[in-house]
Amino acid sequence: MRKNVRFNCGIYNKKAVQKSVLAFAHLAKFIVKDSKDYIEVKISNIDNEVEDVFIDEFKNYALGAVKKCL
Amino acid sequence: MDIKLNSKIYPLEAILNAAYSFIDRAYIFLDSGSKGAQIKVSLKGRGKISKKQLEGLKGEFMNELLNCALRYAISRENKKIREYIVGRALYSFLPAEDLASFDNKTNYREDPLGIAKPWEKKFGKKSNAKKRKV
Repeated sequence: MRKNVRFNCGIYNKKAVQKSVLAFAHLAKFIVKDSKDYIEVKISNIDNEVEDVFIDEFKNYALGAVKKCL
Repeated sequence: MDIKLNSKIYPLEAILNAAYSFIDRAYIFLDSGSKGAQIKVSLKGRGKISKKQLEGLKGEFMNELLNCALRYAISRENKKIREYIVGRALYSFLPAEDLASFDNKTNYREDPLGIAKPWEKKFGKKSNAKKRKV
């Protein structure tokens, strides 16, 4: 199952998103694309055990990473 | 649950701080409008929670946001005085002898301590000379 998450560039920075992708890389496959206003993350092959909460946890981790990058 | 916030009232830093303090209790995602004047906060409870509980969580989040916005405003207002106090404290930490010997008239171009000289110029030739002797 594939899922997309779009991080707004005005709020999330690329470094934080990359950090989050690295932290979750063992649980899914990621493709990160940059556009003008958004950093788009395409997620596939999510581990079955964590599939329910994966996207939400990933978003929360990115938020924490942004805060730490400030 | 989505909360739309005006970024003129609640600065992004305050929203981020409030959201960060809630990430252990809820799933939070931020997005902004096309002009960036409005920030949308998506709040989702961890696990199954009732609508009433979610409303309560929203209320708590808004309170925390107000707190963070106020703290941000105060820290912005006091930035100069804070920097001045720290600068003053560090300056007064210098030993009295150093302060007395500190000469404001010295020109940095004179470089009395030889700081601007590259390492090779300072030590390079000597070490080569030593090697040759050995």
